[in-house]
Amino acid sequence: VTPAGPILVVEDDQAILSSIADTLAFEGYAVVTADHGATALDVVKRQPIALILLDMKMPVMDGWAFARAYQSEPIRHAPIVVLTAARDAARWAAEIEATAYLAKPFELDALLALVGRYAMSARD
Amino acid sequence: MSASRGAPLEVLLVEDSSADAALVVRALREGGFDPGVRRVETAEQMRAALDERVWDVVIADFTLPHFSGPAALAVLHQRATDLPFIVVSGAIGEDAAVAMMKAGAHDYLLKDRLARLAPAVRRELQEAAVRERDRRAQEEKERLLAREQKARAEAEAAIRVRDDFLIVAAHELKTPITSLLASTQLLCRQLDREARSEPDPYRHRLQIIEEQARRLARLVSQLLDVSRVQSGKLALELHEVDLASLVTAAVAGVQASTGWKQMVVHAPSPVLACVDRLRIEQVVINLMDNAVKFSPGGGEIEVDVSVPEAGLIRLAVRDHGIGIPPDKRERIFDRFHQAHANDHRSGLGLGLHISHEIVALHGGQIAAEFPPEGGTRFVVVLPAGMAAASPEEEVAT
Repeated sequence: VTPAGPILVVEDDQAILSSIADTLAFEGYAVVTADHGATALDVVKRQPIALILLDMKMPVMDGWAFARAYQSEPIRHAPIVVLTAARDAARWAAEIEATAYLAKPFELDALLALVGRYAMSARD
Repeated sequence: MSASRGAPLEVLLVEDSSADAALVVRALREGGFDPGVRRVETAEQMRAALDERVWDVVIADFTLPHFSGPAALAVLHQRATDLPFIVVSGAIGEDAAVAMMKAGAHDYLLKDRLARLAPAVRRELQEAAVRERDRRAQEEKERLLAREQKARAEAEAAIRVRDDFLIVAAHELKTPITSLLASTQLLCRQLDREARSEPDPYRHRLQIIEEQARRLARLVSQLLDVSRVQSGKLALELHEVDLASLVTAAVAGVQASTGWKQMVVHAPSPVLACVDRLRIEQVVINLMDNAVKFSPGGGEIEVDVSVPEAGLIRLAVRDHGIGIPPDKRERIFDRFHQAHANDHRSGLGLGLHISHEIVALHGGQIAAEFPPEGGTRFVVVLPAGMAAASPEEEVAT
């Protein structure tokens, strides 16, 4: 199964970013990373993306601002999965009209199940 | 006239006639006072006298050439003092007398009835003393109330600071736990992929790290929950949920993570209720974890879901473990209480407290029962609450 492009991981914590990116790469997904919303916005303008895993609280440009800017871009939009340590995960995900959310800390199995589900649905 | 001196009385006398003043002084002496009198005839003199010292009583004529009883009363009121004010005058007519009393004069006497003066002064002094005592008592009450309110506000602010800190600290702790758990699980996957046939020396260590990272995550969640409970920020997200399948899945999860063999679930499906799925799952997992933790000798753990009467749902978790000592039973749902203090199995003493609060937020009750044959049975009774139910949203977590 080939998604319509790499999975974009947007996360300011380097340890979390690398463990997610390495896991996805190990499972055979193409991955691009961004350490905040502004760099993520550069990435989505350059290439099609299959799925976005999005942290919410980040410096420079947070998840809310990124989602607003991304949704106003005249491009095909990938599903967004919110990854956050906050108990407000569900509310925040609803605020930016994300497809799903996952609370940190998460089980890798749960993350991969979500990625499998939404990266494929973004294929065409 | 009595030879012994009467009670000292400082009189501010508003009076233009020295003859009338002498009559007033005599009446007071005859009535048992030893009056010291200052006579004033104008507003300026009266203000100066009031500023100069403390007086016991003001006695005022009604009509003076450059002043009057009503004007003297107004001057007194401007000073915001509560001195007895007695009008002594010739006939002024009933209307004027009533007006003076209404304006705040304490008594009104005719000059030809001065025998009444001393008793009137005595009575007014007593009443002024009573008023003064009441005023002081009221002031004291207000002072104590203000002090109590200040102390309470300070305590509440300190608690808010603590709870806010706990929320921030717990959130900060989650970040390293997230990468710790994810990295460990990635390593496990990588080892699995290599699928080496010989016993893996790293596998066991990795499992310990993984399990301890999960344990850290649970402890951090408990800290967050308890501070939310304390600050009233624990909000429920209510949806229609099948408690039978929720309990069955939760038990399967605990069984998988603990390797406990003897777990039995009795749950006639479906048992619909309007609850916060994650929170009720948390309660069930907490009760199951406790049952496992405090059953060192093994034994069966039974979980029952039933509908004792329409609109009520009962969840029971029964173990055959070490139970709870009778002297600890009363406080098991208290915050930070550990029924088995100094036991390595005890956690932060928050699990049952948080479970209790979650159940209470649902309008339900949680209780512990101690069957004579040993062990513990925790019973949760929840209102089905279906009137307020909405179908559960599909959320992936």
